Amino acid sequence: MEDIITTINVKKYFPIKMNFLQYLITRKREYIKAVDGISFSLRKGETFTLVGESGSGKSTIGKLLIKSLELTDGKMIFEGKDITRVKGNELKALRRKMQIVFQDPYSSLNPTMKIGDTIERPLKIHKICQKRKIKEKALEMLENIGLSPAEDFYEKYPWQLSGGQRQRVAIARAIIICPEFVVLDEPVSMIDVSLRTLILDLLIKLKQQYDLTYLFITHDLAIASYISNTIATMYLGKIIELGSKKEVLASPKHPYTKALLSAVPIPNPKMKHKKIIPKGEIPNPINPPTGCRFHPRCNYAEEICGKKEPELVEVSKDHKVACHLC
Amino acid sequence: MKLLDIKNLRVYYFSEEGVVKAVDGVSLSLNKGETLGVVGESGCGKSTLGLSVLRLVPYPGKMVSGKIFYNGIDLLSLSDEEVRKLRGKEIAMIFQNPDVSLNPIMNIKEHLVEAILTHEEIDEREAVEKTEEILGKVGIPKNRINDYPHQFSGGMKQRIMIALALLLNPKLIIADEPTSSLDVLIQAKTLELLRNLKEEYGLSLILITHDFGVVFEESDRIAVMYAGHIIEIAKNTELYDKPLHPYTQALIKAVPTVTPEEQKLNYILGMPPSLLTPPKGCRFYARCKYAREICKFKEPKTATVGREHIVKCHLY
Repeated sequence: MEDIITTINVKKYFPIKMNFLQYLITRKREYIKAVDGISFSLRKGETFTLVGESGSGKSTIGKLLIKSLELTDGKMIFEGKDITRVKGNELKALRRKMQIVFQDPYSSLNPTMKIGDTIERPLKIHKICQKRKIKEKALEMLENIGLSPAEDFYEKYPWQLSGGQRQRVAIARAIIICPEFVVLDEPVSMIDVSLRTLILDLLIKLKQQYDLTYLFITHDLAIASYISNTIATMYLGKIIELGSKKEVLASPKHPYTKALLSAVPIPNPKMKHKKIIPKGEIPNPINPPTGCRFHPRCNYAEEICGKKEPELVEVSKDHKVACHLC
Repeated sequence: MKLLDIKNLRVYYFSEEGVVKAVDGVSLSLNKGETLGVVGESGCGKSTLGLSVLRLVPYPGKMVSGKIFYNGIDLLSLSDEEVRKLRGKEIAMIFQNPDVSLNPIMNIKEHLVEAILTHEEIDEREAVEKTEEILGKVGIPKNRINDYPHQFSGGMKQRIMIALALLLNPKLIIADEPTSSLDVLIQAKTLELLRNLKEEYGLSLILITHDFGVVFEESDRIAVMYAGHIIEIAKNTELYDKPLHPYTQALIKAVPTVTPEEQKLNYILGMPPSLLTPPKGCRFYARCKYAREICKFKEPKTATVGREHIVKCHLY
């Protein structure tokens, strides 16, 4: 299948705020290296999941891909076109093709706007359909996401909806303009367990209906294993393992991915397994460790790991790992 | 031997919109040395239940009726001063979010030393020694004792909360979502620490969580809460093998696991009822696929099915 988005060595550094005096003393700007040289491709129609702990740079990648953040260095290609520095009308046209759904449906919906207005807004901004057809389209969308009777929900305000319903509205708002590509940033982490699957199944259904490609961001490996085609593990601004769901979950290669997988609590008291917990905690992204970023915490680290940064190389079909020992 | 025995407890919040029946007739007991998991979705009353045991239900909440026996003492009959003496020394709590529980303008030493000096008649030097010892147990190095909360990572802050809870050698710990704000590796590490300390100190633990994975890994017995009621209590493996209540059955099938295989998962349509005006009959009626006429009008009794397996449903 063809690639829809390709990133080549993408970097995003956030400067640390300093006052003038601090600057005079240190004479050096410091940066948080949130995303530090990442290359990957999303195939059209797939769900590509980024997993990793908080602070590993998952959300930053999501924002870079939809151009809500400018990248510090690197290149991005969308549908065969270089979009690294697009601006103005070209960017607006691009925005129609890329949408995002955020984690918290309590803060991502405007409390003063009716659900109908919220969903119609993108149609009006991008002037996608005729004025008299807008409402019809919004109602159709509400039915489609399971908020029925649609006429009732159209007139409601966000505070009248539950968390799960709100998140469905946020999803509808992203998808109503038929984008090509949607970033889903922890879309179910604030939803109760009994309804999570409903939202995930809705996302899967919409993906087929509208021919979408997803970048799915989550810290929950169980959810990743439910929805993904491809999984990439991130650590300190780097992708350290990338492969098809089957490959990554059935035979994880990187010690960090192995640790993450072993640490997930299993809702089955009969399956006991040994947890591998790496020593220490995630280091500071301002001065990441030299060589392999995971080496100070890795149980298998050898001399080379502290000196040379491992590259993401193919170890088998559909499976890449950045580790000297794999 | 029962360490804690809660009998028909009702805790209501008298808010401006009306009376929220957060805990509505809950009976529960905890054996010595046991870990009891209390699992349920947000708003089902599990945190209120935890706070009740320490008599910390915030305004406008009130314990309306029922009894809580701790080691045979009726906690609800004690004066405020008497309860204050129990807190920390007998029963301690670990809260979910250490960022709001730790005072940002007090360093770690002050937090712990203050707690010791309030309850024990020892001098400050001894208190500091004790503080260092307990911090060592949870893996906070001595040289960080004068640091402030913001200088610690989330996992470390939660370990400081654990140290605070263990400080006065309590017998019962109530942990309310102790690892929900932590990443999966830190969560595993924190739970392991809690498990080891529980052994070492001979503690009993009530673990309140929404995470089925955590509850199945850590608990001896599990109580499932729904809309202010406890709808099922059973031993860990028994609940997994033979969940009786339709809600428990559906919920267990709704939790994804990490597997490369395709999974078929369930969800439960609808929402829990409002606790302002809970339905007359079974509270799960509107979402239950086995619902019958009787379920709508009559609240089910709590039935004992098999050994130590309790379920609140008309089907049994």
